Amino acid sequence: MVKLKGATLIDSLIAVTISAIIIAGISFAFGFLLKSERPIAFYKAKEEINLLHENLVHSKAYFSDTFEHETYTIEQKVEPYQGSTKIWLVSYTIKINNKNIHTQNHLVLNEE
Amino acid sequence: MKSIKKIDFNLQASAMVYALFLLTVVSIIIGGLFYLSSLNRKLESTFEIEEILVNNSKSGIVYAQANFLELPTNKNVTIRLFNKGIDSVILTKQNWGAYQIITSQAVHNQKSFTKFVMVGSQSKSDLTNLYLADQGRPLSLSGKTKIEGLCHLPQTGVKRAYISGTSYEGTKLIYGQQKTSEKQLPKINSDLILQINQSSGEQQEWNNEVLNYHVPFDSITVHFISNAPIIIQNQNLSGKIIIESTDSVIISNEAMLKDIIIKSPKIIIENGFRGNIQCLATEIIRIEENVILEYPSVLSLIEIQQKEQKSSIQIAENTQIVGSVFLMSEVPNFRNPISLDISDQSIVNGFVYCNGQTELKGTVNGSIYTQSFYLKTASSAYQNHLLNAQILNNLPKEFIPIPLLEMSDQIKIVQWLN
Repeated sequence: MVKLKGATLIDSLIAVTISAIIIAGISFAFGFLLKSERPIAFYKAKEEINLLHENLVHSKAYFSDTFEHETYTIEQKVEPYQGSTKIWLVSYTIKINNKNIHTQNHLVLNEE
Repeated sequence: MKSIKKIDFNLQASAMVYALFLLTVVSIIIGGLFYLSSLNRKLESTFEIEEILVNNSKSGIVYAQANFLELPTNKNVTIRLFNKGIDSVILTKQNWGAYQIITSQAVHNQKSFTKFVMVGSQSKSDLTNLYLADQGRPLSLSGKTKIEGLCHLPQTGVKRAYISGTSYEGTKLIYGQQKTSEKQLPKINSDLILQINQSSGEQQEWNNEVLNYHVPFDSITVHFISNAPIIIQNQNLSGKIIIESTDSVIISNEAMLKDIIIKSPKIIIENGFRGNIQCLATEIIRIEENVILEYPSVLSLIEIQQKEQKSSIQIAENTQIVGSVFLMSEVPNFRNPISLDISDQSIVNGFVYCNGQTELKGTVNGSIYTQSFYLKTASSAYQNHLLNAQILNNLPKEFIPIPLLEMSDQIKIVQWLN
C-alpha cells in the first residue's frame, strides 16, 4: 500500500481557502450571469417592434402609441426629426416591469 | 495496534486530495459552462450591433433621400443620426446613367453594413399622360386607338379620322382631362444630360473572354471600352459596369445583363433578349422583336451631329420595355427630325419623351411627350394621326421615371441594389 503524507493544519487551511475563493468566484459569475440574462419577453417584444415598424411604414400612420402586453410594454414615439417635416424619428422602447430594457430608433420618410 | 492507527491517518489525508481534485474538476466544468454562456452573450451582442447597423444604414438612406439636393456628388459625408449610441453613417451620392445611387454605410469600430439604392425623382409633371406640342395640327384618331388620363393637346384639339378603311371605334375621343399644349415640349433637365454624358471609372480594353463579371456598387466602376464593334454574346455581367464602343454594340439574346450601362453611337438588341440595362446612344437604338427590358431600363438617344441616316429609336413588335425612353437632338433640323417608332403589339410601360416625331402603333402605359406623331401606311403618310395606338394610365405608383423634365425634391427609391 502507498503511504501518503498526512496534511498539516496549514495544508488544510490553504485547501479550504482555495475552495472558498473558487466557490466565491463561481457564485459571483453566476449572479452576474443571471442578472445579465434577458427575459424571453424581451425577444417577443423585439419581434413585435419589427411588425409594428413595418405596419407604420406601409400604413403611413405616423402616431405615437403604447402597446401593453402581459409581460412587456412597447412605447412607440413618433416625432419630427431635427425639426424637419420631411423625416420622422420613430423610437421604440421596450419596458419590462416598468424598467426600460431596450430602445431602437428609425428614420422614416414622411410620405403624407 | 500502532500500525493500524497509521493506516487510518493516511486514508484521511488522501480524502482531502480527492476533494481538491474533485473541486478542480467541477470548477473546470462550471468554468466551461460560464465560458460558453459568455460566448453566447458576446454573440448576442454582435448580432445586436449588426441589427443596429442594418437599421442605421436604412435610416441613412432615408436621411439622404430627404437631403438629396444638399448632398455632394461622389463625396463621402459622415453624419451621426441620433447623437447617441451606435449611429454613425457614411453617405455617398453618385450618378449611374440616368439615375443616381445612394450608398449608406453604417459603421461601428471595425464593423460596417452598407446598403445601396438606385433613386429617381417624382415630379408633378409626371402626371401628364400625353403631351403633344402645338404645331397647328389637330390630333386625329382612328381604329382602336384609346387615350386615357391628362392630355396636353394642340389648340386645334382632337378629332376622328378615317384611315385605311378604318374609322375611330371609341365612344369618347379622350378618356380623361384635356389641356392646351405649348409650341415646344417642356424643357429637359440640363443636369441630367450632363450626367448621362459623364464617363468615369477604371478603363479596360473590352475582351470577349470576360464571361461572368459582377462589380458591386461600392467598388470603382469598371469601364470596358473599344474602338471596334462590341458583340455581347453569352456574357453574364452585372453591377457597376459600363461597356462603351465608339462604333456599335450588339447584344445577343444569350447575354445576361443587369444594371449595367451600354454606351455607343449605335446599339442593337437582338431578338429575344431579356435584361435590365441603360442604353445611351447618339445615332440609333434598334430593339428587335420579343425583347423584354425590365424595370428600370433606359433607352436614351441624344443626337450630337446630323448624319445621312436619321437618328432614331426603333422598337420592333412584341417587345416590352419597363422604364424610360427619351430622344433629343442637340442639332435639331426640322427637315430631318429624330424619330421614335413603337411597333404593333409593343408596350412601353413608363415614360417616353421624343423631341421629334413618334410613330406609335403599340401601347404606352404611362406618359408620352412628343413634338408630333406620324403614321405611315401602305398607301400614304399622315401627320399627327394615330391608328390602333393606346396611351393608358395604369402605371403603378411605385414606378419612378428618370428626372428628365425637372429634379424635384421628392426622391424615391427605384430599386434596392443589395
